[in-house]
Order: sequence, then structure tokens, then C-alpha cells
Amino acid sequence: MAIDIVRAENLEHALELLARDGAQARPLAGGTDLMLRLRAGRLAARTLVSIADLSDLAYVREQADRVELGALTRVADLITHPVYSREFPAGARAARDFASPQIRNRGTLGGNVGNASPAADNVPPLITFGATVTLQSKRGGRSMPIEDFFEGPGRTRAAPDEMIVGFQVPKRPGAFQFFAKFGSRNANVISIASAALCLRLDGETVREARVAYGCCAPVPLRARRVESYLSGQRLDERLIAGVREAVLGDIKPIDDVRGSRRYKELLVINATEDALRGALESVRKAA
Amino acid sequence: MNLEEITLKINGAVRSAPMPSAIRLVDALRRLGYTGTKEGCGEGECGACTVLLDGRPVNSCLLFAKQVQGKEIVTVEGVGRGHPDGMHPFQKALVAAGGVQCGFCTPGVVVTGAHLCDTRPQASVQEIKEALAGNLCRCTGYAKIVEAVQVAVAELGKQS
Repeated sequence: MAIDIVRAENLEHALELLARDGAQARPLAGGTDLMLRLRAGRLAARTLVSIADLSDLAYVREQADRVELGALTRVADLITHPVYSREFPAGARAARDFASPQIRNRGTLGGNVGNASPAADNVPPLITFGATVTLQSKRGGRSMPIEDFFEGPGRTRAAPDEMIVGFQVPKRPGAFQFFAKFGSRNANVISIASAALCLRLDGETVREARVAYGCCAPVPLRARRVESYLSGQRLDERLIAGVREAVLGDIKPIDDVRGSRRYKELLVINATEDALRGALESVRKAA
Repeated sequence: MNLEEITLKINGAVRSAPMPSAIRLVDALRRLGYTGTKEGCGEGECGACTVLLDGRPVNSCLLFAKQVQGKEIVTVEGVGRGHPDGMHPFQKALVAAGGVQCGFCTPGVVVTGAHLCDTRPQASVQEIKEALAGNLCRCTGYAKIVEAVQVAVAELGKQS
């Protein structure tokens, strides 16, 4: 089946094409993932609406209380952007651990989110920052917390005529941030599992905890049990020792080609404990 | 299959031919005679098909040619442009270091490595390895390739 690629002249044109062709059309950004789906015969679309050149949607903008990210911001540009790396070191770390230099030069943040892979490396940190995703269609715009955007592997709450245009990421001044990804090598692998934490600490007390895991559920997972287990508690070895039960209560990894369920459980438990020990150390160093 | 005219700017030259709408850049390049670019895995894992797109290394197997019309594409054939003998110092250093064996990864390694030499001459060994992380070599390994980057950077420093 022949696929047509139509180059959108601007955002309005792109939304027009998506509205016209409905489920037959898909936005095409960097294409690093869509190309593989197309070749594997796993792409239902007949028309790909190329939005890669809509430079208005490639930006990192700093506001007083948040940072706005355009959907077409390339992953490579997140790593080096002074504002993103200063405000969201765990997000920059995830961008750096993502895929290969070549793919980071082409792949976009909106594409990584829109593909809705449970392994999307950029998503768990964004969940912990409280990021929202903004969708646009001819009918209008709407936003939702990024953790609510995913329905399952490759499935999102975006309607066929909607596309991701950007993200709002609240600043987390002073928060302890953590991201770790586990794979078979350091570069260019799909994660076996990943973990992100963002902790607001007051001395050795956890005021607010936000925790997310990749590859541990059909969607990138916000770990609410872990968050409530940690919130308001004193950060000490006893708290750290007890976190594994909360982690196991949240996650539902599956056995697959990249790793067994049990291995993924151990990876994210260890990562969570490492993060909490790192947070404790940073607090004690600062004191 | 319906063909449409696809026009690409390759190594400074404008080239055009009727092709399928969704043709990959790697296939379009090879049809146009730029057969230096190789398809290895076809999945963005190996980097053999690396070209520069507007000055940045990308996998041409993951790009739709139609999306990159009008952009500057540099293939392995164009890396040496403007250098003595038409060879980039990294190409010469790769030969001298013995960084080529079967040669299949070499076009991608040359594109990525020459770009690294040109853009980040101060790169540490760790940074060189990270920059080359998207280029797999199954023959010589990486020591000689990393060494060639270091030699080429020194040579470029002397020239400037």
C-alpha cells in the first residue's frame, strides 16, 4: 500500500490535513520511529502529514514558574539547552541516554511522547516534574497531565485530528532529581527499565515525592503508592528499606525480549533505593 | 505506484528524479548514484547510512527523502570537499590507523567522525566514544577509529 507524505506549510495546514483525513492520517515529525512502524507494516495511516519543518514548534522557552517546550524540539537540543539542563537535570540526563546521537539529532520530544512507548525515556522525568501535554486540533486546544495522556502501548488520548504541539513543565527549584535507565549497553538501546524521581525535601523530610517508571506497565507509569509512601516521611535508612514493597505495589512489568519481570522489578527497586540514598547524601552534604 | 519528482541538495549539487512519495533517503541517495552510503541494519542501530542533514549526523535509513528536500545533505562522497586531495584529515587518519577492514561501516564512521573533528576538536576520548556511539563496527573495533579522530584533530589544529 502506497503511503503519501504531505508537507504541512504551517500549523493550520497540518491541522486541516489531519481533520480532513481523520484516522487515515498521522503527523510525521522526525520519523525515526514511524519509519520502522511503516516498514514493519504496523502503521494504519495512508497519509503522513510532515510537520518536521514547522519551526514555530521547536523551542525551549523559560517563564517565571515553568519552561515551555515545543513538540518539535529535537532531543539533542534538550541536552545542550542551558535552561532545560539547569532546571531539569534529570530530564537532560534522560535525553542524553536516549537512543544514539544520530537519532537524537532527528527525533523530537513530541514524537517520543506521541509514540506512547512504555519505554520512552523522556517521559518518566516529565511525569515527575508535573508536565502537561498540549494538544491542538481545528476544534481547539486542550491540555492534560502527561501521565494521563497514555492509554496503552502506542495508544494515546489524542483524537485522530489532534496533534501534540507542546509541553508545560513546572520548575522544581531546589528539588532533588534523579533519572536512571538500564539497557544492554549505554548507547542506542531500548530501556529494559527506567526510573525517575523528583523530591522536594525540607531538611531530611520528604515534603513532596513524584516518582515514575518506564517499562513497568503498559504505559509510562506514575508510581502513586511510592509517592504516598515517601511523602511527609523522614528520609532515613528505614524509609529506604521499606520502599520496595511500595514499588512492587505500583509496577506490573512483563517478561519480554529485553528482560524478565523479576529483573525489571529488581532494577527499579534498586534505582529507587539508589535515588533515595543519593537524596539523603545531598541533604547531609548541604547541611 | 505513483512517482513524484523529489529534489535533493547533495554535497552542494541539486539532484532530482521521480521517486515514490515515501522513499527513504538512503534509497534515494543510492538511486541518484551516491552509493557510498550503505544500508546496514535499516533500523537506526548501526549508523552505516549516516549522512549530515543541515550539518548534523542522522540515519538516512530513518529519513523520508521527501521530508528533507531543500536541506543540505552531505554524504561520504562530500566529506572531503575543500580538503587537499579531496580527503578529510579524518579519512587519511583512518587509513593510516588501520581503522578500516570490511569497510561496510566506514562511510558512516567517516561522516560522523569528520563532523566530530570539525565541530568539537577539543573532545575527550570519552566524548569521542559517545559521539561515535551510533556507529557500529564489527571488524577492527573502536580503538583505531578513536585514535584516527585524535590524529585528525591534531592535524586540523596544525592547518588552522
